[in-house]
Amino acid sequence: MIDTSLEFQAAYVLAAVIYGGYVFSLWWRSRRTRERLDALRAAKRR
Amino acid sequence: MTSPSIRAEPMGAMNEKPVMDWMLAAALVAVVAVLIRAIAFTPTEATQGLAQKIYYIHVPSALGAYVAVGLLALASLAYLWLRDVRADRLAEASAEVGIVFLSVVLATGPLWGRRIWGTWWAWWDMRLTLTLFLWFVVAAYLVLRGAIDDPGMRGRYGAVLAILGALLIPFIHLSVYLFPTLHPMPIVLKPERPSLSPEMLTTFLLSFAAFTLLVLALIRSRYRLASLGDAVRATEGAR
Repeated sequence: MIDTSLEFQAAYVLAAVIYGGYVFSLWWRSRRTRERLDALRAAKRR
Repeated sequence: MTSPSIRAEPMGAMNEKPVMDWMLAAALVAVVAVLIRAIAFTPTEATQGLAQKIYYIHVPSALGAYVAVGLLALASLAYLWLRDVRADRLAEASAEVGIVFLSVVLATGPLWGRRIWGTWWAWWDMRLTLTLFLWFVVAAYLVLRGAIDDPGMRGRYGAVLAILGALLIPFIHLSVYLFPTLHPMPIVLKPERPSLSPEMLTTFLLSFAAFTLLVLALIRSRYRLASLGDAVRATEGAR
């Protein structure tokens, strides 16, 4: 059996980085957008 | 040029729901669990070694990309027909998630091919090349949306591009029959029995289910983020 562990590990790490990065970006953008919405609503009430 | 009227969503109908919720958490847990099964509890293929386990992320990600781009096309058709802002939002969400899945396919495939086929990339392999073209079309769709301010024009032009781009999917899928080169023929969906051992087949089917749940959960989360963004713009406009 040939040793292909490097390609296997690289592929799994790359997939984790891409999917993990996207989930993080969703969380980050939702937090920023929610804060912006709350600030706008607070300003509107004043 | 102004756009025809767009059917708006009732204010506050969607924007209070959390962007990240139980469905996304369940999908992430399912993906991690199935990959642990793939790595630790599924036999290693005799000739390819560990690289064969790339199959459990590469193929389900490709099928997930089909789901996302298919939803993008359906939502775009619905938008052109109904001019409903929710269809446009679903299209945008599906495109963004689709490009993430396509990126994983394009990143993991060459790593596998390098050792098994002896090359990172082969332009004459239609499945590789057409998948890259689909990535560019979805990227162009997202760039186009970012470049147009008018919501009606953005939705309409984007929808036309998305529908034309989604026509690549059947060609990508059938390319192994039309132009047989490096990519193998299907090993699961074929008239005879699947060529995988029962353990490998079970892991693949679980992986397919987990990644399908992930693509749907991500599209749902991204849709909710778009709703939140629309609520911000509506509140800014009302001030």
